[in-house]
Amino acid sequence: MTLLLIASFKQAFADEMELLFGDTHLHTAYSFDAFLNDNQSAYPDTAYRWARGLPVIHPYTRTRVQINTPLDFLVVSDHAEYLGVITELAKDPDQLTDLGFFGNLIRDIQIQFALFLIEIGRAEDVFNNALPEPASGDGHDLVIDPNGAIASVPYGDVTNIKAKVWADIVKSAEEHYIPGKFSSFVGWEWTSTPTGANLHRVIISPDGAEKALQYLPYGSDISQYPRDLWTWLDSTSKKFDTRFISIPHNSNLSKGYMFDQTTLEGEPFDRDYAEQRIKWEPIVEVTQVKGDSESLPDTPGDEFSDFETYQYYLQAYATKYVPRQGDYIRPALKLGLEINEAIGVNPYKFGLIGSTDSHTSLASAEEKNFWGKYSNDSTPEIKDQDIIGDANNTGWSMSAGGLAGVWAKENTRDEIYAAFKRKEVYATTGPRIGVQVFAGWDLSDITYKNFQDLGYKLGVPMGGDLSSISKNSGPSFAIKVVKDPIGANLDRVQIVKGWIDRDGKSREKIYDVAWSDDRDFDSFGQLEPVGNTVDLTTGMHENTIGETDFFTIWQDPDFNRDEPSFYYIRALEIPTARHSLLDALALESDDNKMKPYTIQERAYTSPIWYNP
Amino acid sequence: MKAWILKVIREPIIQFVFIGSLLLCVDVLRNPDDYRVSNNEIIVTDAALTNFMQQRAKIFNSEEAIEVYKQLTVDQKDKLKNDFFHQEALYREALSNNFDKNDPIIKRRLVQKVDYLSQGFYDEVPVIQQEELDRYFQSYKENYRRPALITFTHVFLKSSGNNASYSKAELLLDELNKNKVPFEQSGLFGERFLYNRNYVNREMSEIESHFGDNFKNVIFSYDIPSSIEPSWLGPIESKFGWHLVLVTKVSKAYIPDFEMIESDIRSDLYRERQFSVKMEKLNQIKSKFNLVDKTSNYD
Repeated sequence: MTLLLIASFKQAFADEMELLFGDTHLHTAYSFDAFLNDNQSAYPDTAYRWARGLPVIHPYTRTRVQINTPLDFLVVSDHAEYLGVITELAKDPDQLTDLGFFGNLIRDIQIQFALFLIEIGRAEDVFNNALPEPASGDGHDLVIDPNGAIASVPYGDVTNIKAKVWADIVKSAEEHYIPGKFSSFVGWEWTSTPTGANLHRVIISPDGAEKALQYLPYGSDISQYPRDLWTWLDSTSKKFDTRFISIPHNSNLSKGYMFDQTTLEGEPFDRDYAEQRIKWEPIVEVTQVKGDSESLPDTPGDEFSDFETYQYYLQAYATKYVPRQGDYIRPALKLGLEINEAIGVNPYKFGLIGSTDSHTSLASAEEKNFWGKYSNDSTPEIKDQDIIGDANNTGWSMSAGGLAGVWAKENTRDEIYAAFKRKEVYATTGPRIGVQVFAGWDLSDITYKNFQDLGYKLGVPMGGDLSSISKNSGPSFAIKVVKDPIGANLDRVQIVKGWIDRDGKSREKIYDVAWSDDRDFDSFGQLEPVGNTVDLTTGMHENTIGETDFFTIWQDPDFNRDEPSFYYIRALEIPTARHSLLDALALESDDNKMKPYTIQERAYTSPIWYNP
Repeated sequence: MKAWILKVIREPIIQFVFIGSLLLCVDVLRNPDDYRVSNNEIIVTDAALTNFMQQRAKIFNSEEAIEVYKQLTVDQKDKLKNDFFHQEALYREALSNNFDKNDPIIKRRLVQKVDYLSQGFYDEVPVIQQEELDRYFQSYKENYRRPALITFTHVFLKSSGNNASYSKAELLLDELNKNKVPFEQSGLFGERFLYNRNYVNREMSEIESHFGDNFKNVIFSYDIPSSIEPSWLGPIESKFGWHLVLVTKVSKAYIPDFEMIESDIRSDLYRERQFSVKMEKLNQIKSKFNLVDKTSNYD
């Protein structure tokens, strides 16, 4: 039944381009934090088997688990910092190099203590000890703050262990690559978190073992500055004739630093910095288990902001969450237009994807089949505890999402990588909502049937550029949105527009462009809510409201040909049960910590830019 | 009474000390709590707790912090008190054990504090004169260079490894020019390209990363024909095949006029001045010390 539904879903878009769903951000037992939080047995092989739809053993509960709808691609992206070292030492501490009598003694005491904690089930204490403390200084550059250094681990040279682990990661990716059916990528995470400001990036390469085995992943233990990472990507790609992209994530936890107005060092953007950034970072992961980074939680005029807001920094202890402009992608896209005006390059001209950042080896983005952030918050009874440091959060603070939607000619590493680079990709918060959009100056011939064929001929897809034209009427957008074949109906489709007005100020506006159930606008100009069919006693919803799909052509009524702008689509589902409601029902409990109980899942496309 | 005693009593300084001591005694008797000095007592006040909370939560606005503090529940306040007590007790213990000495993190923090307080604050930086701005701009012109940018669309034909695809491209080029195909209709021709079709105001490194070095060099060297009608150019070879391009804008790299970027120059010079003020202060501090070099490379 599921396969039939998916076939008809693909038919809705049928044409030369295929819609693929995958996860570019997944950790296995080789990540130190995954291992220390009770994923001590699921390696990359398990991750790929799960993603391809095979039953696997859960690393904590030891039950058989299986994804409902398999993924089309997966990147195993373990932390480069001490890649697999703790995992390997727990198996065999004799793999270390000689540090001399005192060096060995200190190291052995540390390792024995860590192994003891792991043995008695307190492995997370080892992880929590390594978390950074908030800045104690006043400077802009967090790396040179007294608390900015990463926790040192006196293990000596661990290159041999890292190389062994990296070889296993690469081997699994090669074994599971089935061109045309399933694409597995090599990758890793660069985990720079000076004083708890999240600057993390996932690095992906579409090349295979022949190239990947010539280098070792670059971690933030080498440098915590993004510019140093890009320099390494540049030199390594030239040296070994290989390709990379870097995908920032969890900007929501960056304390304003991810999309800042200056470099991390506090210098104004220069051309070189902006060019390097946009060359290596064409896309951003906007939604994942640790929250959504689309718009500031209190964005005026946006009733759908404050969605899955995650308020817990990656720190040893909790401090108040303060959302900042540099934490969210919508203000960043606007800032990019402003910087472009000032220096001629837009460092924030990025597309959008979602991914899970799951640390269980199971890329689970489904509310009904969500296996937690870590293995130690994977079952309902163990979710009511601090997750990541002394954070005052719980397993229900986590969001069951997201996924990366990719428009590609075929399911191969090369095609998916090219789609990332041309930004013909989008984010969903979990469900496989199908979204395609074309922008152009005259799209009136496009119909539901010839949508893709004419769309590519008359317009540009998501991630593209519109150039100026000698007329004043606004660009048109041909949009098709189809519900997840096994999911909920759709509430509405919106276009989010950002632009620089004639006074040089950046602005934003949200347009409802298609909606279900013949609803009206209220006196404030807001479309009436779609309603909520979720039965809080069963967790089930009814598709009696909403629409299965939308097709519309919308023209910008407020267009000014002198104003640089961007447009992206936001498509919303009707409310459905959040994973926390299902846990509440299972536990027969009603605790505020589990709320909200319902969620309006959504998709965000990469923007289309208009440049005068 | 002996004469020397009378003489001492008549001394104004002695009288002053005596009266002062008397007043102190009276105050100590009236307000004994204020004078109770004990290393074992940690006094907690609303102000101390609010300050503690501010440091923890990084709430910089004091009024806001007081409001937050007032709204805390009894449990929350108790927790805050416990945390405060915990920190203070451990801190005092650390001090009494001299743990603040020879600790690299404390050393770095203290150094950072001096460094921060030495920065050139607004009123310390000399006012910038117009001619200084001009001089600065002349010296650092290259820093303000704007990148070369290009706007084009293209029609792509896959390379078939022989001359056929080149000939096909040439024929199509004629057709595009004959029919005066505009920018926005380029999608009606050619084959699907791996990356984008339109490139608007893109700079060299991005074009190179999509098309390769040869294509980038050729396209950035084009002089756009001045005709109003579309003028398709090519075929240009890339690592993927042949491209017919319609270039609508090439802006060479350039240094903007002074007036255009005056405010940027001003803020850059200001930052430089601020840095000089700071270096001067740090040098003053350092001049109080002498470096006694006893290194010998362990010889």
